[in-house]
Amino acid sequence: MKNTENTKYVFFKKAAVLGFFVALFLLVSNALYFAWVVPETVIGKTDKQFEDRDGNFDIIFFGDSHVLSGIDPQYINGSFNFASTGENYFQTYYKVKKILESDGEKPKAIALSIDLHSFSSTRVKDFGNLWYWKKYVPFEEMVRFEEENKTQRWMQTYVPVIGKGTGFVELFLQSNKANVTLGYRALNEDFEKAENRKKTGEKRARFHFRNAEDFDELLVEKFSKIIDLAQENGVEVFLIKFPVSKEYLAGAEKYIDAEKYYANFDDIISKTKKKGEGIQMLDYQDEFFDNPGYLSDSDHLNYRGAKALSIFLEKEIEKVISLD
Amino acid sequence: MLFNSIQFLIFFPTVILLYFWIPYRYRWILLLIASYYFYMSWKPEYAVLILLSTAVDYYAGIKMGDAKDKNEKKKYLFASFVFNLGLLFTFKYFNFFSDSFRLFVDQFSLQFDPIHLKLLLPVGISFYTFQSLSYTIDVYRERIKPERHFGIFALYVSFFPQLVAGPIERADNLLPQFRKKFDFDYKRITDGLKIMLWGFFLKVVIADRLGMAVEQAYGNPEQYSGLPLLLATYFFSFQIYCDFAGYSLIAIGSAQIMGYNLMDNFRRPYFSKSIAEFWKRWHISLSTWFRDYLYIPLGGNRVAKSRWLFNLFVVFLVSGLWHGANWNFVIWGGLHGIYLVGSIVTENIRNSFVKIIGLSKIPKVHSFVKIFITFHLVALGWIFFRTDNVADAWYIISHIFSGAELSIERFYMGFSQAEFIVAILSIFFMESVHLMQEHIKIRKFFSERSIFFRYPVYIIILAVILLFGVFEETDFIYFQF
Repeated sequence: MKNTENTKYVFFKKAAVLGFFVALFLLVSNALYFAWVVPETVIGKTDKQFEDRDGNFDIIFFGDSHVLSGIDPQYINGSFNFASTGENYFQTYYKVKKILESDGEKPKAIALSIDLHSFSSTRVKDFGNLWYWKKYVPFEEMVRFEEENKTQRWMQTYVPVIGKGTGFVELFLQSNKANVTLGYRALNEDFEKAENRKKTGEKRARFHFRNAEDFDELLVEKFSKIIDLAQENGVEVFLIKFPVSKEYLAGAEKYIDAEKYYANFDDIISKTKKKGEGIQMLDYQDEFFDNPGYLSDSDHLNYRGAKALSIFLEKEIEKVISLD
Repeated sequence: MLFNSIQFLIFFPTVILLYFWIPYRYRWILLLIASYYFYMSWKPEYAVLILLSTAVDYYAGIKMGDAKDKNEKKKYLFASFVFNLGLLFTFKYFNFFSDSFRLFVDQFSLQFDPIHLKLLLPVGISFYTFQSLSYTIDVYRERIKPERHFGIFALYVSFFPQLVAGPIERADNLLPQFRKKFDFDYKRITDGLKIMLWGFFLKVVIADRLGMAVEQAYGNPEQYSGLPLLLATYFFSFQIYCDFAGYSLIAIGSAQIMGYNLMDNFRRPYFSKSIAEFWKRWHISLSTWFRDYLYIPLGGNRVAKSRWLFNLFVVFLVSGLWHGANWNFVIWGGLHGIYLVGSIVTENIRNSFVKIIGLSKIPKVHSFVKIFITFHLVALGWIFFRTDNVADAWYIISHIFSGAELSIERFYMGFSQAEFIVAILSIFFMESVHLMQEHIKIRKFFSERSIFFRYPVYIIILAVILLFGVFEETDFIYFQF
């Protein structure tokens, strides 16, 4: 019995020592992750560029990868591309809120994408990179759909290095050389050269729309709040339908009635505090139907498409606000 | 509850602390409650099925023990068979047979609207029904005496480390252990933890990472051709091994911490030199189950050669069907049956050929060739196992050696360069350890080293798991069976 007690003591002592070293290891590697790896990621670079801005931006673009790869701020004076992969209105709301409620000078306008998948219920729980979002979104909000996985989400928020060791390998290989300019990351592929464009477009559409509700209530609520917030702060709002391939749109229309969708969307806009007054709608959805060379894949622009769209946009935006 | 979940990280130490804290005579109660809690964290109502299966087999066992003649015994064995296999059929196979019947009558232009049961497959149903069935068969054969303590028997059926994906334990191994008193044994506990650590390495570092690339390629096979498809097939071969062996090791390790010895389920199967050897090293608890309860009753190899070959083939077909209610699994099982039958039929020819080309004189090269061929035959089978339908499997097989895929992005199958390198290195590391294990007893090797060697190794493995593991709480592949 005494011997058993003694081995228990030895075991727990060693376990405590091991636990201490594991905690120390995690603490150090987590700090190194934030110091070395994060600044090399696309969102890390975007954030840094936004924080280090010299003066104020006239217009800031928000949204997901459609915006991230579709707006090249070099061709729109005074603009910044603050989009991030997979970003939804829920996340954008908190980002916009932080910017508009800060003490600094506010932008003259914000721009959001209003694509067919923008309100889709498949996007609402898509909350990656919690460590990044924690500075915008309260933790309780980030885990509102995942009560069961709260502990795991907490770890992902505050100890993101767990499971992210490949970031250090990328650093070592210098393979993550994503070039980010004013928040914009260029894509280089050419959809025109893709084999079986129809199938690719259909697959991508299926990913966005299958088993999804067209309008998720929470996304509608947050979207309306973005509009209200902008208008309360005297900030113009541009809503942009981003160019996609005809193959993608054909695939999407198997799941979603585009006409009905945008009619419902108009209804949402009309219910905002100022009933949509002063909101600029810009539709480029079919702009590059006959130019697949402007797309990187079925629904993302490449650097050529981003340049072309940005040039179009600058002209349209300048009709409403002056870009310095 | 998944082993690779935070829930388990809290559950398991709590159970262990309570286990060594409470008096020995109450341990079975603790383990029984823990096991049902473990299972009910998926779908609580399905615990009723385990309870029913337990009650039926407990009763059948007692009745068979008390039976005066063989006929009476047979009655209860039959009842156990009907109940357990009926359960399996209803929840797992009904829709499959219904659809297959429709396909069959379609051939004769007859009308048949298949009936579909909207039932979710209970996790681990194939495992616990087989474990429970082995008990009633063993009682019938008088290999063991019936267990008269309902609680202990219920624990045998539901013991949480191996409940949902095995190893499928035999009553003569596990039941007596529940009556033994296990003290807190430092060596046994640390050995158990090391086994668990290795299991977690296989699961979260290798299997779950490889799974991402496999999903990318096998989920969209028509977007790939050539080398990426071959690579995805290799990746899946290691993914399924690491996933399942990882689960088994965590099960074995966690049971060992409490004092219970579970059977080995894997012995480095990809070092097998023949398909027959592969099945002695892969999912051993299932292979031996089929050997003892199907192959031998069919006559085994003590019959005419043609009947023997038939027996082998049937066992593999049934094994395929056991894995899943899908024709792909039947083909996978049938393919292994063909491999085995083929290897027996061609044995003399192959031996002569090896002699003629002089391969028998260079045993190391000969062994390597045999391992290489066996691995590729197994990998071919995995294509059917992994794909959703026969058409996809056929697409992969017919495109695996065609077309040069030059796009580096496609080659990486969704991986970044770093992820790809980590995946390859982790497989290489695992197989290096396996190679060592083929020649030395690795636990003995470690125990003979000083703590200045051992501890850094443990800490490095732990660090690798923490940094390079995939912590998305991915299901274990074999849960679906």
